[in-house]
Amino acid sequence: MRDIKILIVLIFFTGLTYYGIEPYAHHIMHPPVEEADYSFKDLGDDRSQVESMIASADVATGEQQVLSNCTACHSIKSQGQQMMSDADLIAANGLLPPDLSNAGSLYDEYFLFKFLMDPAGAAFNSTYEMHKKEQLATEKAEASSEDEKRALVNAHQKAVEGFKNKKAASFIKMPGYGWLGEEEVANIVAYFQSIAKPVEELSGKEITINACARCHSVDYDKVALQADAETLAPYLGSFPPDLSQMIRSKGNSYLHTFINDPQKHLLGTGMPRVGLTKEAEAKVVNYIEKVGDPNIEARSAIGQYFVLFFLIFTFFALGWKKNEFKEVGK
Amino acid sequence: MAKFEKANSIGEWLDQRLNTKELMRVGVLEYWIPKNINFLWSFGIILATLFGILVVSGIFLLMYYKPDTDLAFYSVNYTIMQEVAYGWVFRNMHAVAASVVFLAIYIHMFTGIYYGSYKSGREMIWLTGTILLIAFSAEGFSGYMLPWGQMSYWAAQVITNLFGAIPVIGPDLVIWIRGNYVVEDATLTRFFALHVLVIPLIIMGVLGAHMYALRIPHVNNQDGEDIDYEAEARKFKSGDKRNSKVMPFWPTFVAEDVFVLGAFLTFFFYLTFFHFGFAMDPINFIPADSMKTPPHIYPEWYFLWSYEVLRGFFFSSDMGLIAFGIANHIFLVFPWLDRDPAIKPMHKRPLMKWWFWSFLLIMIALTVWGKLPPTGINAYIGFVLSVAWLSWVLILLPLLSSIERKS
Repeated sequence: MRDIKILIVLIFFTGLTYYGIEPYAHHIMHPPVEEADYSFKDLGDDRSQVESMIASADVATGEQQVLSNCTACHSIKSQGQQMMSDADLIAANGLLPPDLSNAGSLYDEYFLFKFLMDPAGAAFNSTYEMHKKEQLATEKAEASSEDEKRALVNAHQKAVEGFKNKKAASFIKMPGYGWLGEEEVANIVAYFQSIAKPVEELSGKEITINACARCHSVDYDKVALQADAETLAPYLGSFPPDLSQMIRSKGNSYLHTFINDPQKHLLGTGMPRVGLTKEAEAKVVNYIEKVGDPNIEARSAIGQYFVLFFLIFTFFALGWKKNEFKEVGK
Repeated sequence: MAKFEKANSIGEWLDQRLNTKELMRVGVLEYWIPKNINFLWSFGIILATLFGILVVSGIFLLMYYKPDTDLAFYSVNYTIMQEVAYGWVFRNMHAVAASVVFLAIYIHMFTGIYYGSYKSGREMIWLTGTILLIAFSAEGFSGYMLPWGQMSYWAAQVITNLFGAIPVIGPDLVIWIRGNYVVEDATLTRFFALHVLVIPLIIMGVLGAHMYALRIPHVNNQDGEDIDYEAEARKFKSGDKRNSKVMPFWPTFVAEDVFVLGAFLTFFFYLTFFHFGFAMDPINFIPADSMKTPPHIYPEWYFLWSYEVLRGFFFSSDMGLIAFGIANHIFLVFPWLDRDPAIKPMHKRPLMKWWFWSFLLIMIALTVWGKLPPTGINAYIGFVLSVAWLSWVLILLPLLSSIERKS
């Protein structure tokens, strides 16, 4: 009986320590963030209008617009469109502008529309401004004097302006096509949708290469960086990390909220939001998990036998112990 | 030369040459253990087994690990974890055992403190045990550097830097330890040598001394009762096994050990396969980068309490360092800080029982605050805890125990 009491005490203090240093400490160091927003609400409240515009758009005109505006820098390999080799495109642009064959299914249509209208705005500015505002609100609540609050507002305004005018603009090499007008941009999106393979038919690796590999390599799966490594770091502020071990260092849920909106975790980062749909992003994270932690299934398959073996072992050992203790009257 | 007769069995053949029967008799058959014990007495075998697991899994890891700053991270996270068949099993076992071994050490230590098993003749057991704690700490720290992730690098940076505060020789000492002005390849290779050879040898030697130190004073029991081992052994051997206060190491105590060990290994392998995250910090899956300081730097959980004693004096790094030095060595003199020579469990010591449980809570609180960011109120909580820890050990322990001795 005393052994059971001691065991309970032991489990209690071990559990208390574990709770403090794992769940509790990690909760404090990495406060939970809002869930990923796959409807990109911060870009405006006209999603339904844009969607109906795209639904009724003219695909043939869209194709003409794509051929005259996009194919100088982007390949569309599924349609046989490639004006320059990938290597030449990298040499000309510093990195490989993504192939557009499946842009219509990988990227959310509303995001794609807004991105074509104003690339820096959709990829950076809108979300940066939103999170900066949230930050200002918490800082203002902690500020003690009116002066301090005014100073905070000024500093934030300056930061937002600096980010919009200099940083975000330098992060994005793609020009905006707002001058074409909303209708033509909708036609372009409709054309992309008409040629794209559905996400279900694409592998996580294909999607990751299209969405991520122009800045990130995946060494452990031999996915090379589609960029000039020399110019990438100065262009983005720091060298984008390899993705091979991301699942171990960041974990599943962080990767989801981060890919969906990098500014949510790293305010001011040079990583753009690329606007993947929920399904496409799930495939990317799944792929990163497969590359970084391929033994998930083997772990439980083998692990259960180890645990079972030692349970049976313990059971027999208990019998032996009882037998021996009876012998000496303990 | 002695005259050898033809042996009738392998056992007899060995006995003629190695005196194995006598060895067995002295070693295990008539090595007497008190009956009045509980499962905490089996943590020795748990620790020995964990050390064995660390050695064996370590040897397999050693076959593929490359101690080179350019190759280390890749050799651990790709070669061992993905290319080598079942390499990940050995790494998980090694990492989890390295973490859990400290849990077992702390339980073993606090068992000793609770039952007063460190004084009045048992000082050498305690002393060798404490040296083992220090050796295991060095082993843990040097091993943590090997994967060459961000936490490996920055923990090495922070900890080696501490030596710089030692007067006069400090700055030179840091360079001597690192083998360079900064933590880099020479640091990794020397800590590799320490980790795979030097420290394990020290551990094995001290482990032998630790077990030998048990033979003369015998292991303590739940009530601190002074047992006349010769009389009790005679009683046992004469056939009155039930009324004797002792039992032999083999087979009785081993049967208990194997049972407790089995239960512990079930838990251990559950952790190894299903819940290993606590032993492999996520930040260490980012390759070491001397240009990017992680937002939170913390050691592995078993160093957190002493790390917090160091950080607790946030206003003076010198005071923090002195406190840290005390924290890492004070357990060596524990038998002399307890001024009451009577061997009694804490629940029979009216003052010291309060001291024990509050001391345990302070250690746990230090461990938790050692991980939390030392900002805002946490800095002050850390300071209070550090001062409390020092006063509990340096003031309350001698004071309360001498009051108990006198009454």
